Amino acid sequence: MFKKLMVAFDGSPPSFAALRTALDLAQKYSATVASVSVVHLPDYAGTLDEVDENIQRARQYYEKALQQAAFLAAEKGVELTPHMLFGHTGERLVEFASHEGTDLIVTGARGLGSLKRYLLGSVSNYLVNHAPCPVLVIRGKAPAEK
Amino acid sequence: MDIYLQATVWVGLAFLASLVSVRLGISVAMVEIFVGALGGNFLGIQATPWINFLAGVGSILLTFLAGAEVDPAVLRRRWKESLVIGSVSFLFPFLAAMAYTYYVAGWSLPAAKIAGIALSTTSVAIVYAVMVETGLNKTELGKIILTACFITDLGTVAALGVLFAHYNLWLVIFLAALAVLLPFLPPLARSLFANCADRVSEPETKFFLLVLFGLGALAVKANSEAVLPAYLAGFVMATVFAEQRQFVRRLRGLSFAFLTPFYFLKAGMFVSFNALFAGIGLITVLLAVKMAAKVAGVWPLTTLFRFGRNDSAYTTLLMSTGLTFGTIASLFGLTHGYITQSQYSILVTVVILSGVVPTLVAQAFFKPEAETVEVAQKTSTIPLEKTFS
Repeated sequence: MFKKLMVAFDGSPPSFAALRTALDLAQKYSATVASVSVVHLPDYAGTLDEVDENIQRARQYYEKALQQAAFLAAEKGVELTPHMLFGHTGERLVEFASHEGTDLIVTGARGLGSLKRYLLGSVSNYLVNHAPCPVLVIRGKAPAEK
Repeated sequence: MDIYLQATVWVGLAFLASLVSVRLGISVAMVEIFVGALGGNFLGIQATPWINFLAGVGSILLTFLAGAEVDPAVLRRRWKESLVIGSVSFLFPFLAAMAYTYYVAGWSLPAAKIAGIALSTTSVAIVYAVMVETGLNKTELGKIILTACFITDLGTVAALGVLFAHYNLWLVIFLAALAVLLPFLPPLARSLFANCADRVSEPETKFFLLVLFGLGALAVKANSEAVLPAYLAGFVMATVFAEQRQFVRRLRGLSFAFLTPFYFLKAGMFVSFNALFAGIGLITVLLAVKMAAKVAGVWPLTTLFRFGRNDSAYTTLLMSTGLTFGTIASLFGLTHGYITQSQYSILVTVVILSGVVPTLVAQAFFKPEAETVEVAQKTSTIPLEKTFS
């Protein structure tokens, strides 16, 4: 049923919960998992350095987080392909899912309050409303962890 | 006001701008201009000689670092496209904005020249960020566009340096100093990096400050602008700086922590909200003039160079963006008395809007087609992409 899974992965605990769930599902359905991390670049940048600094910082951050993700995938014997894209998180995740023909998107929920959700935007909410495929939102711990 | 109290207020505003910028993911330059405008209109902050000096050095280092970001290899390889697109991208909006403000809006000729220069710019940084998002920065098309942006900015600083200069002996001395020093700058710098690098006393930083201040002093003597030699010096240093990333990082740290905030806050401080609201019609028209002139100039060329319809529109819109150099030209005009504060407020607002509007239109309607995006996504995927199993 699900052959190509995608995890919205930002290295946070909720995204690790989403990853664990995706790996669990992938094991059951013999599916592959793509972890997609989106780096937000400064809007209307003033200098090239400002842009490059964000890219460098993201590379350092995700290198560590993705090693952990790779370890979890190896434990489950699941094929995990990490991707890092640049731009606005929700938009890029939806574009990737459409482009790759993803069967299911798994995402964590940050559990933002209404004000923060209004100010910062909720990625899971955006995905539910715009994704070209089913979206599984993991609140709290991954089912496999309970 | 006590000097330390002034410093506290200015650095406090710069700190606030940094936090807002990090939080909202918006360029720190843009936030600093906005915070400066709030400070100027509501807190009554004012520039003092020492603030003017720090702001001036900030704009020189900003321009120097901007010039050093050019990719000489691409410029050598695709000089024809880069040079033609970049030059036209400067010339068309420069002439259109100058003509409109002079003949229609009734500005004086020097004010119209400043308007032309300020609205001729292309923001390399905005173009670059958008390209990284689409992955176009790795493609040949993207590299040509980026290099063309540098040529446009070169046109801007050259116009700023030449149009208002006094044609006297000082100008000859200034140009002679440029001609003699610039070719020797890279070997001199290389030797310095080889012998004195990574010292606490930072001799290489002092060397570049010496060069920039010296050339700046000669430029000012000729009634030219110190950012012109700074940009040219950055241009010739691009290859060396590509090998000295640590040094560039330190220089950038110095600039962005202590100098450029004073420049951008000052640039914002002079924006009068009253003048801005009063000039809203002219702001709209000037933005339209800038974008229309870029379309008229760049679009046919991109078609000529076989960019494809969508890529042509996308390139043209990206080249309509502007920010840093537009504010530098406007502030030059204001501080030298060529434009009034009302005209300055209008120009800076148009410059900021030109950073936002064309980007939004390009992203919404002309994102590269599916094939390009496919390549772009692959190339914008991190190099650490591998399959784990």
